[in-house]
Amino acid sequence: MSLLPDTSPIDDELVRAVVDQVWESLLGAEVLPWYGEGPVAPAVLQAEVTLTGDWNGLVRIGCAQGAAEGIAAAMLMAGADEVLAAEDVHDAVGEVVNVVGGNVKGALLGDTALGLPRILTGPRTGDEVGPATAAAEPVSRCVLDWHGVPVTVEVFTRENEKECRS
Amino acid sequence: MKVVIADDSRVMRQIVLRTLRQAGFAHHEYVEAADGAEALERIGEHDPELVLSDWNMPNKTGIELLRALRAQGNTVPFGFVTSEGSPEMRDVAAQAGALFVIAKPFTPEAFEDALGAVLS
Repeated sequence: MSLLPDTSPIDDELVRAVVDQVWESLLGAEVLPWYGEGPVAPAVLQAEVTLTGDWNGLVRIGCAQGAAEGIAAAMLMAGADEVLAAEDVHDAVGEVVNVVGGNVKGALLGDTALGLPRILTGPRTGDEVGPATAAAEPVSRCVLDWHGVPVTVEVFTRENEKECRS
Repeated sequence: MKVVIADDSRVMRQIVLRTLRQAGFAHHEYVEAADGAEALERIGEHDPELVLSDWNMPNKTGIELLRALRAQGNTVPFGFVTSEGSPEMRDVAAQAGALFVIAKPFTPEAFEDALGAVLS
């Protein structure tokens, strides 16, 4: 059973509104939906932040390394030739998911705490937080176009978060 | 004037600094801290006129930092710059002695409005 209350406002519309604001303010970019063909490949880099308390779940951003580097460059207003350290790339994408998570939390009723962002990279195994599978349906999932590369923003409740981890 | 910026994200500290410059506060001296515990040290060293702090940080959270300062008798003006801006958090912040809460994502105008009276 989902822990998400029936009255929870977390849906695609709310998450998209949050993402719109974050993309515009932090990345200086307009949000474009992904219209690429075929399934979105598993993300190489995932940034996630947990929400615990009256509502329990997870906000996750997944993308390819190149998209993560582009997001970091946009946040830092880095030059086209500037090579960013991996630490800064992870920090940047982690901060994006942190801000999205904080704004999702703001739409929830009750007492819920936002965790610290964490980054997972490389191939997934069954013991890690893997990419969403057919068995793990998020309560919200947006696929965005970052200069021709898909970026996923997903929100899971505890139940389907566990499914996702299994 | 000296301002301490506490945030565990180096990228976000850079964005806060950039936004402060855009808001017209480029001429102040900024000191960075990577968490609440480091911020407490920097505040002791630099005796700033303002502290801008994230809420969620390892080692010592922003609200723990503020309470530690007030427990020491330090009344430095203190504001939060955080991804969480719920009414409940704003109440907790105000009760602990914070002057303002700026929610991420923010604009230069948000900094102008919140910091103008302190830094002008």
